[in-house]
Amino acid sequence: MQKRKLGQTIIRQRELFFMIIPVMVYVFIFSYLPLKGWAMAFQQYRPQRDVQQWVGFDQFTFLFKDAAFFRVMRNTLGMSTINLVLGFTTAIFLALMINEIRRKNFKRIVQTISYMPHFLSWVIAAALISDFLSSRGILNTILVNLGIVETPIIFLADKNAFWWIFGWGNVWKSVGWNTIIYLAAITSIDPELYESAELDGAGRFARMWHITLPGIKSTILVLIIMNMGWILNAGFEVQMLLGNDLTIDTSETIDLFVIRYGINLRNYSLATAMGMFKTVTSIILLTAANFASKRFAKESLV
Amino acid sequence: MKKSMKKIIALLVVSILILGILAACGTDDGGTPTAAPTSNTGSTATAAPEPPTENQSEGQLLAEQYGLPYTPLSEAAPIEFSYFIRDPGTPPASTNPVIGAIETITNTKIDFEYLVGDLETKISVMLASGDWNDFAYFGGEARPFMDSGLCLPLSDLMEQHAPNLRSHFSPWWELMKHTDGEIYTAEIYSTPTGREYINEHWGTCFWMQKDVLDHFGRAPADLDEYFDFIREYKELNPTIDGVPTIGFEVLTEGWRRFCRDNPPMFMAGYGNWGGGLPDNQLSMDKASTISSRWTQDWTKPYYQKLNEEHHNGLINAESLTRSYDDYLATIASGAVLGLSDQLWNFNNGMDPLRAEGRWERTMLPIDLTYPGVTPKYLDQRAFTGSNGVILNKNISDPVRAIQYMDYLIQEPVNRFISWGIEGVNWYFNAEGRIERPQEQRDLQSEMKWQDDNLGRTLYNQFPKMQGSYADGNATTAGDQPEEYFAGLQPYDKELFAKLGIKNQTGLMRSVPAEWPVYYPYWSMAFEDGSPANLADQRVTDINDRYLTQLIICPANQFDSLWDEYQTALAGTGERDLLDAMEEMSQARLDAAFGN
Repeated sequence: MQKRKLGQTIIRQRELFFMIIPVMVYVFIFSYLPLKGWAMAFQQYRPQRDVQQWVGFDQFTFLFKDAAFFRVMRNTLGMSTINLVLGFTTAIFLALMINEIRRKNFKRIVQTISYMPHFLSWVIAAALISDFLSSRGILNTILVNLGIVETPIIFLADKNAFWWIFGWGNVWKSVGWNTIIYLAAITSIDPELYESAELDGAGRFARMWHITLPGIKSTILVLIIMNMGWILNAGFEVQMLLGNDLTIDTSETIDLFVIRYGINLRNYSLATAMGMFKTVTSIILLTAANFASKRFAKESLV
Repeated sequence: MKKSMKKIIALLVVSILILGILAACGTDDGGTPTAAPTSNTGSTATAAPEPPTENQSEGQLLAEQYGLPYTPLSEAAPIEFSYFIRDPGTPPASTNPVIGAIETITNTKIDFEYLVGDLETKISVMLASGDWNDFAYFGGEARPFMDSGLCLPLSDLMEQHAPNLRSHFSPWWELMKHTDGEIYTAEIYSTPTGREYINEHWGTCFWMQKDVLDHFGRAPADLDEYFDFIREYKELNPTIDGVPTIGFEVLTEGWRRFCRDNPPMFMAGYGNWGGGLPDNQLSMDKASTISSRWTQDWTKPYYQKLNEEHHNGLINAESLTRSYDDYLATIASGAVLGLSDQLWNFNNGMDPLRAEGRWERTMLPIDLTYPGVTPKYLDQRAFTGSNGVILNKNISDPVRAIQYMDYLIQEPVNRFISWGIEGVNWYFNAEGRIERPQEQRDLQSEMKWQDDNLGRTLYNQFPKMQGSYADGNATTAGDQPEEYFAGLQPYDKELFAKLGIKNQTGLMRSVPAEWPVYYPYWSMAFEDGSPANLADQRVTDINDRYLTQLIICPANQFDSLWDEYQTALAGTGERDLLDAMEEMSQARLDAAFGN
């Protein structure tokens, strides 16, 4: 194979390069330009002032010394992990199930219904979830009428239940949507593999296990690596909408802490310091996951 | 085949780009109102203007028709201002005749924007970007805007262009000044004029459903009996119109957490002081020293009682998880027997009950205290200095804005936006008292109707007369005693007779209290990033974590959780907050007495 020069490559693939320009402009404007705001993390930033006071690492010291920090860190990691594990297993499971459905119409209906919640905003989804879990909601009505419990359980007042409400709420909202990418990966598996496996006497589950799953392994790994970068982002909408004083011990995440002590107290510097900490940790996690995957599974993102 | 595919993709990319550009352009002018530059009509007018007799403008004719004073704004070019309000709500209907008339007369349109989402976050974003509305009402949260230099200074503007506003504010002029000596906020509540009428209590109280009171024929004497009444009634009526009966509601959401926090302070005979406890609450000419209100002997028994009633099934854990909207919806079901709140905070929840004529499900206030304590639930309207409208320093025409407010504060105009149109919404009777026709009384019992047909929104959101006019009539229909009694429903009249009371406050023992100038502490705001500010947030967080938990924890764990709470409180640096309050009390005294 002949090695081409870079310039020639660019000219040959000019359409592709042209198409990537908007994305690069977007990333530059929204991801790189704001980086100059990181300076705020080392200041006692006051809005609408020309000169700012530099305070070194004071904001970081405040952050790591606060007793609440470890609590919110634990909550964030806990919810992220639950979300990651539940999210992956349910989506892969559902994708495999949908793939096995023979009747096209039924398949389409299942797919459409399962990814409908994805299009709801969290405000609405949270209202539906809290209605579902309320003392007069459908879940309690069923439990009480079947005699499983005597009085309704107030799920949202139980701080030990919050992580799981968060996890399963997320599953309900996004499982259908997450299957799309796996279903797409499954279609690229050569049908001949299935045919020959069938001839060799492989049953349905054997085919799923030995052909479909290995066939989408690289997709799964790439997605896991990418999601490692998001592990400190357990979000704040769900926690803000479904959390309350009774569950605050388990529902307050890093982002909520930043809102309370950073944004709401107009301590923008603290919020920035927290953002910086999250970004740096995410990059480390991402690189580590990528390295591990390259090492053990010979798959990698970069 | 391949080529056409490329074309299609290229087309897609281009159309997405175009869409993006269009969207970006669209948001450019969405943020701030684009008021057309106006001829600077106002800057020359200072003294009482003379109306031109020829070529009368539409606004001038309308003012004459409604008997309102002349304003040079009637000849000015139309202008639009936006106004942000810190509460959720809906703007008045565009067909509102009163607001429409004011718009035509002053050529000034106010575009009301209500809160969506979280107030604190909204304020922080506004502050950081410096991009906010022309007018805004933030309640006690306005201070950072003043500290950041984003507010329009009002002293000179009022002195030069707003004689009526200036004289309205003259009793409090010195108290209105910010720490830098400038006035930024035009108080919209707590500037009383004339005589005070109190027919209804709108502040803090324990509230009980009328049907419960009807059942027992009297008010409960103390907190124990209050819950006894609720328990007994709930046993007799496990459901109300199909909805399971709820004994007692405690709202905990956001800044409305005062429903959970304030009752013990009132039970111990204090007024609505806020985040600190004055050691001498009637110290008029010397600032009182301040203690923590969370560590007092009387704080614990209240939450212990709530805990007990939670285990008795009168307080549902679900009540503590409710958002403000859920809370209002719960009250609107008519199944709530009791709560502790301020009427303005939950009144909208009772609106549907009134509309359905379920008067027996609305509530009456009862000022419960600990034994031997004199209740102080009622205030004489006092100046707080923190409930004002602030103006954006980048407002398109400051003079027009101040002239608009100056027009609204004039007595005939203020009466017009509060009572409505003479001859339609009200009339003068033979004794010169303002009266409403019966059908108006019925219509006005619903708040939504008032929003859409009277000038209530303008009256509420701008500096106003509160109390009485020069002729002795009250400034609102609710305050006018004859109107209040005539507007009572037959059900209420009967119930009041049975209970032996005259009006809504009849069951209360409080006498309107007169407070020192530094009352209340909740109206004090501290500089961003100051120790007091941080301590405030910490105390609030600790209260959120523990007080709610204390209500539902197992009874045998209450004491240990209380001790844990007290330990956590000790680590918040609350003293910083209390010291700052003491300091600010002294500053207010100095301003008031000119030291």
